[in-house]
Amino acid sequence: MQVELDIPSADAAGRVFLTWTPVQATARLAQADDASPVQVTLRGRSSGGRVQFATTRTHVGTPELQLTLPANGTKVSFFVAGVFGQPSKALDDGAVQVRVAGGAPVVAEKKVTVRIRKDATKMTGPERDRFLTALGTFNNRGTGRFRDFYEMHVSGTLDESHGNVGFLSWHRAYLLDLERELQAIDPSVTLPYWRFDRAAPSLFTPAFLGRSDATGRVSFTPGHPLEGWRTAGVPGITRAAGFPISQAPPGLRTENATIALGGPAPNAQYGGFVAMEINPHGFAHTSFTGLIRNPATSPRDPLFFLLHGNVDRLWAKWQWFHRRTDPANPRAFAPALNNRIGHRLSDTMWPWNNNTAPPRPATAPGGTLAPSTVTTAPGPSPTVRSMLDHQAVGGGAPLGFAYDDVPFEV
Amino acid sequence: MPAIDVDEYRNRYEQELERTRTQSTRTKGARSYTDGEPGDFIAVDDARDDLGPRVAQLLAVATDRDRKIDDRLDALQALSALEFLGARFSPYRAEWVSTLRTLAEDPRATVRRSALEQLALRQDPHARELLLTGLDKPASALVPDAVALQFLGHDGHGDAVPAARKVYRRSKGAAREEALRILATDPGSAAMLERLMKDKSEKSSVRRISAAALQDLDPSRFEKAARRVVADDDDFNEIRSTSLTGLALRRTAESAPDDALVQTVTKLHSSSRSPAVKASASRFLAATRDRSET
Repeated sequence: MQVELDIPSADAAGRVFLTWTPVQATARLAQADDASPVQVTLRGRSSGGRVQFATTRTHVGTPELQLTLPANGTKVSFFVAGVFGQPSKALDDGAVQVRVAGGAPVVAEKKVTVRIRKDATKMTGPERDRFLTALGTFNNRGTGRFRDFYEMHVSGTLDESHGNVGFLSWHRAYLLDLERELQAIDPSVTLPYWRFDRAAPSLFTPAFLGRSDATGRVSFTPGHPLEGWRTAGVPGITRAAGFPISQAPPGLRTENATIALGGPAPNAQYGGFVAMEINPHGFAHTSFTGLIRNPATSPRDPLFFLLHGNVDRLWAKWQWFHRRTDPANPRAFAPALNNRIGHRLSDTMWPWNNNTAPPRPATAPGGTLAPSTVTTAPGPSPTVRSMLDHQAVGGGAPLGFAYDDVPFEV
Repeated sequence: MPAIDVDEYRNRYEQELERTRTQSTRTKGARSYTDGEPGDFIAVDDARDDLGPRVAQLLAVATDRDRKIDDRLDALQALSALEFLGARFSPYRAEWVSTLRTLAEDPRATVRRSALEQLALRQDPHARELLLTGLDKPASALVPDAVALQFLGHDGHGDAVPAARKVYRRSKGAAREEALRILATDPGSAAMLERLMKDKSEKSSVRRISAAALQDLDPSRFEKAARRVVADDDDFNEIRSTSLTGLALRRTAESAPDDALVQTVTKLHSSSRSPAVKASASRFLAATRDRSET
């Protein structure tokens, strides 16, 4: 007897990547012993990332699922997702196994990675090192494609990404683009985030994002993947915290205060929430000296991507808590200030749309958004709208990322 | 971490937010230089919002030499944060830059330094002039040499190379190291950087900066020197780790390592007691494996 499992969120090498969003999968008898249907049990096996199953698209899964597979090979559908709170720590550290009901032998197995963005202070050492190595490789001492990323966020381009309601959508696409590039180097990698309303001393160490000396020069452990960091022809990173790194930066809104922006449930409005662009976002940037404090130079410091990971996580959490992922809900987004192109729901976003007609910038570095091996969304030229429902709560294809503390919930 | 029931998680989070809301309905702003929180008045959904009064207030605080230094620095921080608003801040940018130029010569060192850095990050010619003058005439320097070179280094066009050479010769410590970073853009410095990278009597930090600089300036020269350092069991772990990672992250086809180097690194990986060397050797071997698989 042979059972075939088909879980569509797999890469070309057949490795399955899951988030909290249920993926519709199928099992079928590829070779039956006789004409009778066979009862099988799906179960997760894990040394890290755990999976759950359901017969409908729901956030309430079970660790085991019984299926009856017809002898004629007809596919039987089920849903599989990562168990909220139990992400992977390494590639392929989970699996979906199929056993004949009541029997011990595994008749089919697919290795699985529950790939989730994590709080940087909670990553394992190997997770941290894989992220840093992928980033160092992608930048390749200033000669790699990372250049496109900081050139997307320089003077003359900032009206595409800042000061308007599309601020959060644009940066969600930006992070996703970079994360996919890093995953092309190492598929186990996700972008971590810096929870800037909490102390994160382990982040500002020589082994992670570097330690600053009295001049604001950042240094790393010998051999660190970012030791030879170079951007725009300038070697190294400058950054000094204007606060003790054993504490959180002062004056920033806490997570709870940020989630409260836009008003309480059930009337919370995006138009109020996006005021977070100043505080905590702007103040998190300017809590430091160095590259990170200036809008036009900030992406040249890798900290930018962890800071914005948290900004995006806060949006994701606000969306989840207030159920604001449906673009048709007028409270899930807001009209663009001055009707600015690039900030309206149906607009495509620069530079991925390659639109260089005024008022867009004259060049569009980086080309289209990097494709994913595990999802079709949002396509090469994302719209503002396509960024809202990243976990596909309303159906369709998810964007392929999730945060460790923001569940999928229908 | 145990699995979390999503419905229960929502209930708990709702209660937590409710507790926060009843305890305090607003957070404190960036310390107490104004009545309100700087971000509070930014409501992006309201096109009538005018940043003008707030910017004027913050500029006044930043330039008021009678104010407490913390207030002035907080005002500078708040103005920098407002700059992240892009077009909404544009009407005030010229005044902001003009204020920074004034503050670059403020009597308070922390204000000067903050203003000069913000100008240097935007490659402001006035700030460049002030910084170069300070390096040339230390008595009139607005910031220490190391800081001046660091700020000048934000402009990667090499204008500061002559000044960096001068500082390199006359300084020790951080200023000398910042000078080396600037000399990384100077082809005429390659031989010196190679010598420093290989010099066992030099400080570890100087050797590592020189290695990074040489890698940018003359990759093949770096590779030759790095191979020598990696193979030298009498050399220090720090520079061996730096050299190994430099070799590992070079992913171009022409830099594919030969068998002899792979054998050296494999041996080093198993014999070294240094975690940094081991980590760098692992990285090198993994990169080599990846290259041979693609």
